[in-house]
This record gives sequence, C-alpha cells and structure tokens, in this order.
Amino acid sequence: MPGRTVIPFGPQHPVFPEPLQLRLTMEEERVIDAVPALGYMHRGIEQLAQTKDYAQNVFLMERVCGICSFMHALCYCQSVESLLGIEAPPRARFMRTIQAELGRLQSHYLWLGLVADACGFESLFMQAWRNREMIMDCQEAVSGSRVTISTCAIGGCRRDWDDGVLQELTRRLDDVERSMDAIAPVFFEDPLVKQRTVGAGIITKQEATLLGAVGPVARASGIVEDMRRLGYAAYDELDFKPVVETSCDSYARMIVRLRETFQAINLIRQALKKMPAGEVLNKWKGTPEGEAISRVEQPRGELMYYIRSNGGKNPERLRIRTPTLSNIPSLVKMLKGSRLSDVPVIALSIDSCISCTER
Amino acid sequence: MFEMLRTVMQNLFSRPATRLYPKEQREPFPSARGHIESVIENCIFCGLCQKRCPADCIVVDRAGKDWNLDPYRCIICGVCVEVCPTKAIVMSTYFRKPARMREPLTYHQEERGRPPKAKPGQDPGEAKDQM
Repeated sequence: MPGRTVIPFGPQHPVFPEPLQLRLTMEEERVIDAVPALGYMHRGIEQLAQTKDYAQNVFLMERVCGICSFMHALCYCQSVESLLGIEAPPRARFMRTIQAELGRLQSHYLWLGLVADACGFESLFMQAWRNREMIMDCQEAVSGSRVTISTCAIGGCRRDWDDGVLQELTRRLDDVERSMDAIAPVFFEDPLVKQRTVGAGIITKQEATLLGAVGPVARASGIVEDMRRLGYAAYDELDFKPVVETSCDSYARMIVRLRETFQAINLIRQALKKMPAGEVLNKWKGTPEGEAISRVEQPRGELMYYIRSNGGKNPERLRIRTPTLSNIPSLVKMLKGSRLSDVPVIALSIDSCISCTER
Repeated sequence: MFEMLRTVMQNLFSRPATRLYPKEQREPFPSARGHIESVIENCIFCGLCQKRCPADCIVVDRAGKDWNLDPYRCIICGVCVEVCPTKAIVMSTYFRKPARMREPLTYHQEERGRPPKAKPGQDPGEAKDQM
C-alpha cells in the first residue's frame, strides 16, 4: 500500500474567493478522502438579526452575501410578508423578478470568470468580468447601487422606476447580450476549457439526489429542480423551463450556468414587457405571532429562510439555510477519486459561497 | 480553437474598457446613492433617523442641537432620507472621498439660523448646489 499524504487545500487558495478548507487525503496523485472545514467566516448575523427590527433586518440580510445580496433580501421579505399575511403589489413582483435575474446574471458571470481563471485562461477571465461589469452597471442604473442594491422592502420595492430607467435597462441589456454572445462559444467549445472540465467531478443523478444537491449542481446531474417553479415574485407569469444537463461533470455545471445567463436575459425581457403599472409598496404595521418559511432559487441553488415571531419588535429567531451547505456533501463525493490537479476546478464547480454558509 | 481570437483582436484595436480612475471619473447614475448629507437648518431633532437607521450610525443630540453621523459606518441605504419629516437629510450621487482618519461628522444647528418652519422640497435643492 502506498503512503498517504494529507494536503490542506485552503483556507487561503487562489481559486477560492472565500476561505474554505478541504483536507485532502492523497494516495500519490489521487484524492482518497476530503474533509471540509468550515467556520472561517462566521459573523453572527442570525444573532444580530434578533436585536434589529423587521424593517432594519432587510439591510442586514442583504449583507449575508455580497454576490446574491438581492436574493437574500427577497427571501427574507417574502417570509416576513407571509408572516404578516400581506403580498407585494403586481408591479413590485415584476421588479423583484428583474432584479433577481440581474443578480443571477452577474453572479454566474463572476463564476464563469473564476472558472476560466482556474483553467488558466486569463483572457477569457478578463472578458467574462468585463461583461459582468456591464451587468453591474445595469444594476446600478435601476437601483442606485452596485452590489448591495437595497431595493427590496417588506411589502414591495422601495422605489418605482420611471420610463427613463426602463429604457436605459432595455438598451443596456442589448449590449450585455451582444458581449455574452461573443464569449459564450468559448466556454461551450474551447478545447482548453473542455480538457479541464469534461469528466471532472462526476456525480450521478442518484448520488446527487441522496446527498441533497441543489441548484446548478443538481440540474447538471439531470435533476429537474428549480425553486423558481414555485412561482414566487412574478415567475408564475413568465414562460420558463429549468435548464437541465445530464452529463453530471464540471462541464455540465458550467453549461447549466451559461445557459441560465441567456435564460435570465430572456426572463428580464419578458418581465419588462409584462410589467403592469401601479403601486410598488404596500404599507404594513405590527407583527403577528407565528412562524414562516420562504424559499427562493439563488444563483447557487435553493435558499431557505425560517422566521419565528413572538409578536415583539424583533424576530425571535431567524434561520438561514444556504445552497452551499447543501452542496458540500456532493463536493466531497466529487473529489473522491479525482486527481489533485483537477481539485481546483471541481471545488469551484459547486460555486461555493462561504460567507453565506457561515453567516 | 479560435473563438477567443476574434475577441482578443477586437480588444487590441478598441478603446480600453477601464478608466484611469482618480484622474478620469464616471458621471454617477441619476439615482445613485453616493452619500448622505444633512441640511441642518431644517432638522427638528425628532430622532426618527437615529431610530430607523439599520447601521446605528446616526446620533441625534436634541439638547445640544447636534446631528452626528459616522460616515464610515453608514451603509447608504437611504432609509433616513425616506423617513425624515422635514427633508433635512439629502442623498448625494457622489461618493465620499477617502480619508486617513475615521472621524465622525457633526452638524451643529445655530439657534438663530433656524427657520420657524421648514419648507420641504426647497432646501434640499439648495443643499445639492452647494455640494
């Protein structure tokens, strides 16, 4: 039996934007076992949420994650809305959809850039992030802020968009799509990207189901699962089908995300067309006792918020379950048997967001 | 194989995608949230901004007629601008300049300078011109 080596992969590693440690037990070049170590990013946000009132918590929840900040605010607002028994006005629901899809678009482009970087394809990485910057400009044009856009509020959206904003968004979307068309074939067909991703980190449909994979990881293994089918925000009124791939490897996960970026553009266009006029914010008062759950589809998968209220000013308990936590068991499964040189791409392929996971 | 080559060649002959930042600055979007400013003459020291601020960055001193802001703690969410009954807080579209020291800002209201009743909608406009 050859000797075994334990390699600490992370917490600081060039492929990870955030600190996650994987202790890899190696037998020569093969990974025998991987043990993830979490806990480098804990900030105590759930505890802090119990000291702030419901309206203030929207801004706190946005800061759980820097990349999918709008989704966190949306999920929190939805759970509080169901606790209060109110609904967002139709226009606000469409506005939420558009902003959620913009968020998904920029998150996927960030990830596509990172995967290009992990493959060693520097110019593709730069180009992907250049495209992302155009999407960030779209976000800033509609919300007034680049990252933590702070537009979601309990009962709707905080400010209405006038025609100028909508025209600006439509115009910018065309530019974004043009630049996406220019680099998408590279991800689809380039032999360099394919060599690093095809066949790396295979997880079958059955394994993914058993290990509770969510989001693009599940969809790349052929599981048709997308929380947007629940019809929250305005998704029930839009024509949309989950993107599913069946080759189960890192390449499939990349293709799912790439196809989702085009789907996001399509969804934004549909929402812009169907958006009705009217109020954007419903007033609310007080907080009834009880508990509520809300689920949304984040760029990385299913995000769940649980909220319990005892009728007081602040929530009694707020619990966040993030998609990365659900995908880590799948990551461990993918890593077993892979080569050390494939570990960066495989670890990246679940698109882990550690600051969400540890809050 | 040559999918990327076209984009790379285009980039060679096109204008740079980046800006020489401090020298060359982009005009902010009209709805951008840059930083908040106080129009202290309008302030009635009701303390609503302090109560609603999610980051606890505003301290209103009613007795001393001081309005204190910790600009490095402010998350520029704009809640104070929305809740202020006399429009004594305005949002500027420009970011604050970087600083060497983390010093809080204090706006002090002079006793005589205070108008008997604030006119919402007028003073924030004047304040924008000063910035």
